Amino acid sequence: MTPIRAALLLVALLSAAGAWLVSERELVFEPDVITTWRAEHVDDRPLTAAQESEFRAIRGATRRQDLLLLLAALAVGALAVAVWPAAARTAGGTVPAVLALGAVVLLGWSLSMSVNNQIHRAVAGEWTLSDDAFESFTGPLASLLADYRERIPEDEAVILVGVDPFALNVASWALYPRPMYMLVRPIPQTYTLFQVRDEIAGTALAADHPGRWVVHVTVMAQGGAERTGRADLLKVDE
Amino acid sequence: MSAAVGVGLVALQILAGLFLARRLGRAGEPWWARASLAFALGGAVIGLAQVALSALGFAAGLGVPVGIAVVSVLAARLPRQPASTPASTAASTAAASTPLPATDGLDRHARRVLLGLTLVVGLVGASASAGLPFRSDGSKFWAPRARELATAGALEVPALVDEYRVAFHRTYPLLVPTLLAPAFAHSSPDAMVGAKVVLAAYHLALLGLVAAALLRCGPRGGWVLLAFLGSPLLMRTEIRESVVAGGFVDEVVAVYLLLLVMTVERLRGAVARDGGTGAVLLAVLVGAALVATKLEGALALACVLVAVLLAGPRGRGKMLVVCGGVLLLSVPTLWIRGGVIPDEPIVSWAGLVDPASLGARFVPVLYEVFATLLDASALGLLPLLVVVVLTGLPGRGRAYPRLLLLGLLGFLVLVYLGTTMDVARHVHTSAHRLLFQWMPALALLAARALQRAREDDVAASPEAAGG
Repeated sequence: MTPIRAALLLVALLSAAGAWLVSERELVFEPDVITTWRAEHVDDRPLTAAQESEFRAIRGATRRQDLLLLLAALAVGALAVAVWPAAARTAGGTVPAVLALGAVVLLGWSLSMSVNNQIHRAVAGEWTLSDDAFESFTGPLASLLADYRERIPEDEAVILVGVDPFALNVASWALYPRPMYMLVRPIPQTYTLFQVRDEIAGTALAADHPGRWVVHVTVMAQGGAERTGRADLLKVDE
Repeated sequence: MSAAVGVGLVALQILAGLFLARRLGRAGEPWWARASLAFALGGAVIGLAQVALSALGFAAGLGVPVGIAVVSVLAARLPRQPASTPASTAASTAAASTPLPATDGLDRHARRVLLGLTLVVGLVGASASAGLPFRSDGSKFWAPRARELATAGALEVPALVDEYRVAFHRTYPLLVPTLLAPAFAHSSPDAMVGAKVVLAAYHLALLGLVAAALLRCGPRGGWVLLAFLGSPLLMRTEIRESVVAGGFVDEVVAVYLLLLVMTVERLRGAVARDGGTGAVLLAVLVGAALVATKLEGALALACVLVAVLLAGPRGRGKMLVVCGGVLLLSVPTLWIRGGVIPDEPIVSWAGLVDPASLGARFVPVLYEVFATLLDASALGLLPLLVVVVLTGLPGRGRAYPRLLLLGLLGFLVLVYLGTTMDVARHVHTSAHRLLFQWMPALALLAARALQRAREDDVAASPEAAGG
């Protein structure tokens, strides 16, 4: 056995062992040295504690998947080149051959994930080539937004308040061509939509339209008035 | 109906680029590579014209693509002058010096397998791109902007000039939204598929251009192509904001950056006749399209310019001419940018000169940027391959690609040092996309480096030395 082949087998073995160890963990966090550095050098643009906690979990899961795929691909790539040394000659070196053959694993994995996901979403009505993408785009908010469309005339303005990125995006898309406004000023969480409406009524915001409506996207995202008991849509000037 | 509109727009875009692709592209390319180039160049010409007209107050409609397609088809029917052929017939710049042995070509079966895999990746990705709804930035502002630009010029769209309207990133360039505007104008209000078909075509064009470019580099290019196809971002539907996952412009940036780097290779090329006026025009066109597609397009162009200037005398003068041309074609984009409500800055330049902020961020930023190179879930093993090949292999002509790689990493570090967001969060949402924009171009440079290393080996072999 040549030294290179022995080294490749060792790399394959270590990578496979590493992949197995990573697969046993739910989350993989950044190295301690980075965590310590962050704690000792406080950034002036930090996340809130709640955001930090949520984001830490997301990052941990992403890092776990990255490492798992990386090590699995390296294990397969190194093993393949150990078995088929001619690959290294045509690829221009052992490392390029290992990485290219390892990528085949990722190709197969991505292919199966994508096809599987597309089939599932097609069955659920989310994948569509039809002219009506309203339901696939708005998802769980479809019935609420369809109701808003019926109630709000197309020439009247809609003022969106609250925080929910998905609900904000789909509401502003689905309610087009109604003029869409956003309340730039932050609203205290204790405010009801009635209080917000009363404040808006005294301002010139969107006042040049025949009518004004206010939508609380946070309440909308939680299922609307029926589910939360809180107002989600009000006419401003009644 | 909307799908048919999308297919029609794709056809118009190909026809609009037909003339330029014939005059400026390489002869002897397979039909799919020519179609990919024609589509990309057609998009550049139509998009730049639409942006210019939008700046003048015109809505982005079907007139421009139809008009340019007609002119392009008529021009393509004109007989070619013998003097205009050299640019297209020139060989790869890298193949200029030492001819490789006849056995060094890519095996026919291997070529077929690679093309088959490329087709599978293309179709699965295009299916996801066309069939799934817009998400993230695609739904947040790109698609709404395309729909609004179908009704009015950029400086008359309320969302861009009224600060109280729902709008995000108003200063982002408008090439892609204006390309997609006709799809919204001629579809029912709830249809997205027309616009998504055009984006899916960009996905296919990217793969077509990459496959053609890498397969020209012989067997070693084939191996790099295999690594490229293993990038999950090309197919996976869960990755944040890729075209395939309902996002928008990153693959379009990748297309024009790849074409720019390919053309700059010609400008710097050893084959003098390959770097003539045609190559300069091509570089101006794709450079301007890059700047008009996304903010970082201008920074990518700057990285290429600096790398060319520092790498040696080859192509310096031509590159300066190219940048002048790009600046001229970018006037409408800059005009619109100056006329819309400014965005909150994503990068704070003040943060870049504040020692306390820099000190706190430097180590985490370096860690995050280099960890992105190992982001196998999105980019596969390609970043590792590119870094290993471009930094590890000795040989000629390595300064320019190394400078480009260094420029990219420097750009990422600077952006995240100056970000107004939390570093880890900003990296998480954007670094994989920024890096992906560069991957096709860097993969090509890696394949060329491997091919050159092979040529050097052949030249240094006893048989070659013996004559």
